[in-house]
Amino acid sequence: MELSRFVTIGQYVPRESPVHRLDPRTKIAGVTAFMVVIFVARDFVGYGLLTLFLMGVILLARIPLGFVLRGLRPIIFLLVLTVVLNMFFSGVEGGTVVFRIWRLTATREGIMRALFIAARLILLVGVTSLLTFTTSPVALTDGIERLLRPFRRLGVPAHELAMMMTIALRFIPTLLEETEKIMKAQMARGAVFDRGGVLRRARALIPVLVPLFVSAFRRADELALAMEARCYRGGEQRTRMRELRFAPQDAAALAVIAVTSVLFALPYGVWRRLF
Amino acid sequence: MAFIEVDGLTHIYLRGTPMETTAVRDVTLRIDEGEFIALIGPTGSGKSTLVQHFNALLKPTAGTVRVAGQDLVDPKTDLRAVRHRVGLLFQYPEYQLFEETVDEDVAFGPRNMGLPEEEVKARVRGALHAVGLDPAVFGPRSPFTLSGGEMRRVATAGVLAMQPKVLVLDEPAAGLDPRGKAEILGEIRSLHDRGGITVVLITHSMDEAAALAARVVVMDQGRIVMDGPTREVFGREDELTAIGLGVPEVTALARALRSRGVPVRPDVFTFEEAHVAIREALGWS
Amino acid sequence: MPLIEIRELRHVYNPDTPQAVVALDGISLTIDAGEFVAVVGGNGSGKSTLAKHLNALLLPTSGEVRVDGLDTRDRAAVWDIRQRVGMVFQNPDNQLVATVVEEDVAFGPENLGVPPAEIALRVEAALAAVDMLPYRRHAPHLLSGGQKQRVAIAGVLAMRPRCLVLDEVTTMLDPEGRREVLETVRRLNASGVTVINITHSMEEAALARRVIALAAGRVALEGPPAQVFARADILEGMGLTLPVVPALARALRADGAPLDERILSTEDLVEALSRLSAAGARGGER
Repeated sequence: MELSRFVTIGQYVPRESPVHRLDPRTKIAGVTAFMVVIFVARDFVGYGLLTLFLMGVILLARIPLGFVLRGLRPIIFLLVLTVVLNMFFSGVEGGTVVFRIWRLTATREGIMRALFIAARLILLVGVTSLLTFTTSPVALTDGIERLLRPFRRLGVPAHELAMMMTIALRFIPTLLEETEKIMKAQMARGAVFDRGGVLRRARALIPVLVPLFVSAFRRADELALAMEARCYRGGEQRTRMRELRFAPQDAAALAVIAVTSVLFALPYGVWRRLF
Repeated sequence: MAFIEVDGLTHIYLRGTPMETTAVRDVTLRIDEGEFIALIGPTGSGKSTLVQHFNALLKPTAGTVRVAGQDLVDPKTDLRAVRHRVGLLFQYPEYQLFEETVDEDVAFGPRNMGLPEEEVKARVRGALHAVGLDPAVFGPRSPFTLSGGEMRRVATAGVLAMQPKVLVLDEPAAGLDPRGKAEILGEIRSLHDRGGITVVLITHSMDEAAALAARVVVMDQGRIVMDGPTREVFGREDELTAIGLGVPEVTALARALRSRGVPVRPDVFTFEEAHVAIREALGWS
Repeated sequence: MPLIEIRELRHVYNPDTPQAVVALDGISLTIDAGEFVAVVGGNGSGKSTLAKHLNALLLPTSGEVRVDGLDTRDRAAVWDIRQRVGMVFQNPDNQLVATVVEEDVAFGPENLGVPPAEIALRVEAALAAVDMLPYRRHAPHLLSGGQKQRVAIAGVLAMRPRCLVLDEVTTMLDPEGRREVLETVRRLNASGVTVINITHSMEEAALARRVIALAAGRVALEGPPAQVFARADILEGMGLTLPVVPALARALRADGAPLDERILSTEDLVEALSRLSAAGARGGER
């Protein structure tokens, strides 16, 4: 009961905002473009612009900054690790030494590089969080399905993939609840899950995983029967209650994304020469 | 000293989050050895949360829970020993089965207790007998090849094999057909009567509670609102209706008859009592 | 023409193997449009197997099942049949496919290729019919069992079926959920939907206008509830128990009380007994 109530599927935050109203395909395209620019941009100017742009969109989407920052919590460990490793082991020879700890040397170049990579991680997590905050799971799967549809001719099962994603999302809270219940039932019989080394703990999970898998398969069977009873026969002649439609705001958004992507990807040197 | 002593127990889920809920509010309760208690209440009244404190699956947010004199929050208390003495069978327990054979699954509990293998085997046999399954026939079979009712019995045996002093059952008859229901409830009754196990039965059925329990505890919105002998609690029909619960069907029938002038005795809670009482009221005996 | 015609239906699981099980052993039935039929039986009676023949989820080993004249073995007719005979299952969770209630109700019509604007109308009407319209944007996992089953019923109603088959839909529900669902079903039948309620609860059977009792794959009893309940001995043998009121009436009848065989509800029994009591008092017997 506790765990499943916690899980708001996909962290979607329903709000009325221009960003929320955009077609999910536009947003997916935007996120993809953003990610490409993150890897193309070489200097802090580019990253600075990207950050400003991201914060602007967050504001426009009426998402409290705190939400996005909380989304960074899971990767704090990774961030710190990345910074530390790159600071001391960046492999840049003969750089300007800034400080020494023990036998480790931190050069100016190493520190810059570490911060750069950290900034990259933060931007990546930030933009993908923004996507899930402003786009409901239904819209996301619809968007992905529509984007993949042209590839059906190449054998990509766009509809089936979307169906799988939807069903998975639908059952995550249910399965979490069931896991909790099974764990408690086994604990009531004396099972212990928090003692011992990795191997022991893994073995202790068998009484939880086996029933969970058996149950999942049974659910799948029953669900398939129910879907057939409701005339499901694949994606061929299906219609959708909600159809994605491009609106003028999507065209505008795509234009903005295209222009800013090009601009932000330009290195600082080019900017200098332009202005 | 009662076997289970609960004092001022409060349990709050997801404290400090927007989804915070108080499931159990200031509950005080005593359960003595040998009792047969029915715990009833509307869905969401806190019954399941309350009983999960008896075997330390949940910790109190406030208040204390003592089992056989030991405070369950005290770090020195051996919680595993508590779980051996207070057995808890959840709803639809057949969904917990995981081992390759029935024998192995029923043995899970006793093995976790660290008992010698001979003892474990003896307990498995005993537990299977207690639920009406022939160990020779069912022991070597895979639990997943059994019928739903049989699987439930195996799961029950799994808890009985630990020989708990208290057995807490969350709707043991849920989802069973009438025959299955009658069988499992009959087994629970004989476990109590013959084996002297203390039973706490969570149920939605007033008829079940009236037929089996000597004492009824009623919960509503996290609090205990009634606690007393079965006949006394079911005599308070109006209060129970106000909470959204009923009374045994025959009790409601007797009351309706009385209101129409048929002199039926007020303390009618089971089918047999109703039969006798109506005959008396009609002037036969 | 009856809505559903079943002739000499036999169903054997794992035929021609050592594990062969005869689930249905020669069932013949007809069900007319608008009926409210209860199919009762203990575990192993074949009732769930029978249910799955009504919408061609299972095909006969021998015999024939016709829905609105269509033969279930006709592969081309399968989808037509499933649109006309909608089915709701026992587990409230394992029928809901989408992350939002109204999306799930739309699933059926979407499969039928209904135009988008009409789907939206049907979804709204279906949710209103089961009294779940305020929950249209909710996530299914947050609903109670009774609410989930009502959403499942809405999902079937949105396909505009002629008949609703309920396969033990209240077995996993608490009393409140059971009440909600049965009330919904009663209302739907009153508005013209044919209902076939598969159940092991005799209390529920009492709500139908016709009861078919199955045992070992055959029809053991058939008729209005009171008529079927009169054969309590056969029912006990099938593992079914009479509801409290008919059982009490029966016991009192055995004692000599002149109680009508058609007494099913508490009100009926109270009425009959109070008249007896008054008559007894008037006759001076005490």
